[in-house]
Amino acid sequence: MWKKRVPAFRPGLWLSLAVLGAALAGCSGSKSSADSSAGASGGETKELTVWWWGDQEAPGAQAWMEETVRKFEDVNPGIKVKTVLQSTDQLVPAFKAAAMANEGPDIQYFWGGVWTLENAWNNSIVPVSDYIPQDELSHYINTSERTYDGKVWGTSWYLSDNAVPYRKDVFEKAGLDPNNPPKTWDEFLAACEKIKQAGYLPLAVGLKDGWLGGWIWQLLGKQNLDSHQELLKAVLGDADFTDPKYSEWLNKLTELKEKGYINNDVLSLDYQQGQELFATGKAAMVFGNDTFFPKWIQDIGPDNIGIMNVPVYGAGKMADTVTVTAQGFGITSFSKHKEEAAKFLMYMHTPERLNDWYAKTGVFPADDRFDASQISIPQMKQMFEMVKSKPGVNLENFIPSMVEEQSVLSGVQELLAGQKKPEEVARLMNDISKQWREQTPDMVTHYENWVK
Amino acid sequence: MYATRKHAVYAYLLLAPSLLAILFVYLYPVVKNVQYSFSAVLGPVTKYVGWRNYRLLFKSDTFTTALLNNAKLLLAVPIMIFVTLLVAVFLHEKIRGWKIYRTVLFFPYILAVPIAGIVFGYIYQLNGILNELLRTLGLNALALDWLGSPKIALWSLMSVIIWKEMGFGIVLFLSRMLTIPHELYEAAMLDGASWRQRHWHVTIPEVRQTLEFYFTITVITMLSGVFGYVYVMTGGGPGNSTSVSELFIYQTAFKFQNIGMASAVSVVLLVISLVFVFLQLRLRREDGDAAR
Amino acid sequence: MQRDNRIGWAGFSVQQTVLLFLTLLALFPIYFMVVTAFKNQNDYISNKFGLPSAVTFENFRTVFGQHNFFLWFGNSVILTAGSVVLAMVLAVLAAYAVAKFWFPGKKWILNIVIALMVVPPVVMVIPLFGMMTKLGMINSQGGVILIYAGLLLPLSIYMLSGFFAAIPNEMIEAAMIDGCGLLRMLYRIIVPAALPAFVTLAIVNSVWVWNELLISVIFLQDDALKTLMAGLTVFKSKYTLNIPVTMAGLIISTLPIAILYFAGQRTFVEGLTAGAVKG
Repeated sequence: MWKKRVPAFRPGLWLSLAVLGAALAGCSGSKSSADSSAGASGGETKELTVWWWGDQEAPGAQAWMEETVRKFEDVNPGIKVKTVLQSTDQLVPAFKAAAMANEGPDIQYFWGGVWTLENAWNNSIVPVSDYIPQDELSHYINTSERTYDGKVWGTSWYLSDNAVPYRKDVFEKAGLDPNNPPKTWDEFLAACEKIKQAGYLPLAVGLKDGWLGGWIWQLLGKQNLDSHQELLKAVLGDADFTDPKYSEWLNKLTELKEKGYINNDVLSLDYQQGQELFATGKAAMVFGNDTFFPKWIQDIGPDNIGIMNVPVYGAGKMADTVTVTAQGFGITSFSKHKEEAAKFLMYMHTPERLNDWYAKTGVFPADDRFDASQISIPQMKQMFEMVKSKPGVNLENFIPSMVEEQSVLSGVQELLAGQKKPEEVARLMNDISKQWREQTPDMVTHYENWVK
Repeated sequence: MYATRKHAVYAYLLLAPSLLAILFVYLYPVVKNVQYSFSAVLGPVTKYVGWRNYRLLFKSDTFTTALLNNAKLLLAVPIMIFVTLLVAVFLHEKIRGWKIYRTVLFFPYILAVPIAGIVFGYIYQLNGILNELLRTLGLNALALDWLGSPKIALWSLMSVIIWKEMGFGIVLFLSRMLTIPHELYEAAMLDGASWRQRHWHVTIPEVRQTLEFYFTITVITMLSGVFGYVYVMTGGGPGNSTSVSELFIYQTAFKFQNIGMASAVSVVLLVISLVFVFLQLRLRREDGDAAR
Repeated sequence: MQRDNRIGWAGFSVQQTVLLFLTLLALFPIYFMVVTAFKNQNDYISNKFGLPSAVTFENFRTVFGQHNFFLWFGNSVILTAGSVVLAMVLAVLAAYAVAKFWFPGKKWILNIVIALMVVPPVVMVIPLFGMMTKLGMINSQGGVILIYAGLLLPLSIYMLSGFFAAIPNEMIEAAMIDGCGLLRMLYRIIVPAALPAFVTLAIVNSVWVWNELLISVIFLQDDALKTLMAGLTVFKSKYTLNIPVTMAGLIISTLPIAILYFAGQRTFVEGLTAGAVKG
């Protein structure tokens, strides 16, 4: 019985659905037009959007940022600044998504080296040297990391430097001289043994989220190299990662594990949880970053904590350098207010802002005009001296993210899990570099230019 | 079933909004992905590169490992089917307290994946509470590095997935079982059928379609619905031991900015899923009726 | 189904044991979460398993004090309600068409829709992002609602049409003879007849959207637009060393969906037992 009357075709129903659809489209449309009108209208208020990171690394940065925005807006009534703090995982993906869509923030936070430059190569950022005068830029520390093709592609904001903080109280309990920490690798091993005998953990490491693997590589793996160009050569396939020059660090790391100087739950603790072992006095030493030092000095007590350089085993020129990384900002190519963006960036470097930054975060600003007499804590004074006397670059800024993620971060985890031997990790670095070259030949050209 | 032309037009109208949404959300991206998979995307510029991405993909150990891990996760499917069916049968027998059991057992399903992931992340730490419990009970040898050992991390992950997804199966089967006519069971009991025979000959055939549905859903989940778990609990580590296809796509596209490669993986995943569904449909009997 | 006394005590014990064991497994992580949220940090470190020595609410206070927490919460509610309602409305119409009508191309459309159920969302993200940007719908809740609704459709249509098809045509014809319009018939006859499926689907869909992380993280980057889940990841990295606070945050995030679940239980039960009576 097919010919049945169909239920009445109710226009009301369809009308309401249509209205619903239109409403959805409308509200999203009006939202976007509100966004763009804030940006595009020439005469009225210009709005700058800043996507940034750093409060995670330099606690206090958020407060500084808010005050900087306030003061900047006071001095520049036609400009409004909106800041968005990204989570560590989202910092890079969010920007890459924006770059693909050619729409997003005016100012973006970047780590140095390739992290900035790959966006230059993809035309997602413009050179800051086009908007900031050279005499101003020359004061920013480590712009060399962001230089390519004769232009500077990012400003520097603050310095993040690596050293090994150690607990004097644990040293004493282990019978070590708290004011004379080990300098060479052998001295370091001897100290670890004593600490272990005293019932403490020599070195705290948390590798579950992978990041620390990259640190370990850049701190230990650079020691046989003379310059970062040598790393680039290996990435380009002109040198071999299995050469001890590039791979001895893996043996050193294995040594630490086999002698029991690293915590056994290294793979189930994430980076911060690993550091916590140091903060609570269970471990004597930790690979640290000076952005954390002020808080530790406060929590652990200034008499209980000391700073030493990473123990030296290597023979290259970079062996005893202190890794100095300048974190910074770039101006996006799709920004509609590049001049204003540059203004804001320059405002961050006014003396009042630099001093306020140090006061709020205890982290060194990346500007040589910073008044070092501001530093009152002895350990930080010492750190600053180290940074000024023997600065070296951070290798993590020169390796393609795919190579680092899939061979270094992954390899270190597998090494410490006992699943791979040092040679295998080194070979993995070769393999992934090769895959990277095959998968992104356009990037290879840029790298070759960069090496020169 | 209404089948005149007027009915057909009517049906199209009813379907139209849904089809539009599906076109927008599914078909356009799929087509775009295919296009990207044959290109290199450099910022806003797209360059055609032929089969290069696919070729390099299958040379990549990282990718093959990820795919293999998805395959390993498929082992969860028979476990889930067995357990959920069994539990549904028990509950169906209106065992004492069945309503409470049903409520409790479904609860993990409504927890958000990140939440389950975070909680289990703490429980499974080498010095976390599971191991602490095992050690207090004297079972030190069982206190393994659940998420930190490349050998067992994937299985630990799987346990969390099973824990959370089970509730859905239980409720699904139970709903279906409650519509099975009593007479069938009474007849079986009159014939002297044992517990096992009763369920094998009455319950199972009655829930066959639901079983097929659940099987499909679960397989699809293991292939392409576990991103949240991996992302929150292990990030793919240690090493690559818990990396899965979805994570690979995410990292390749958003961390390494290799859109072309990521799209190629998407297409591969899609093809595998389609093949599976196609085989499934082929093996099913045609009912000549609606969407079965 | 009636309890069959012929299984005997042994059979019952086995059933009870299995169910009890599984229930404990299901509950233990939740117990851990709840119990930890009411401890302060020191209490937790010294006693990870047991009940708190002193119940404290300070963790919850910390969570509520968290910048933007309520905003994220509200965002999740908006997105869940919006997309589930939209999806269910569209799916009911489509499922009715699929269940009761024949039309040319039906088989093709059905197969494609079912096949689409297998596509992982992560595959959609990149092209969708490009398209949404062109339409100006990034950082737009409406856009994300549309996306979610679209993603929910294949499963919803599939499930509902199966149940709709089981509704006898006589019921529909009777309603039509009474002069029932489409809308009323859907509400009064069809949906109630397939109520267990409808409620289950609504819950399943809500859970999916509420849980969803990837799409919300990519399409709603503005801090004020983040969903609760996205905000949780930020929250967790900030409090990664303070487990009790993290647990408190997790509990608050689960509360609405838990309430929805327990409230929906009744309809659930009614629907299920109604089905049992009929069958």
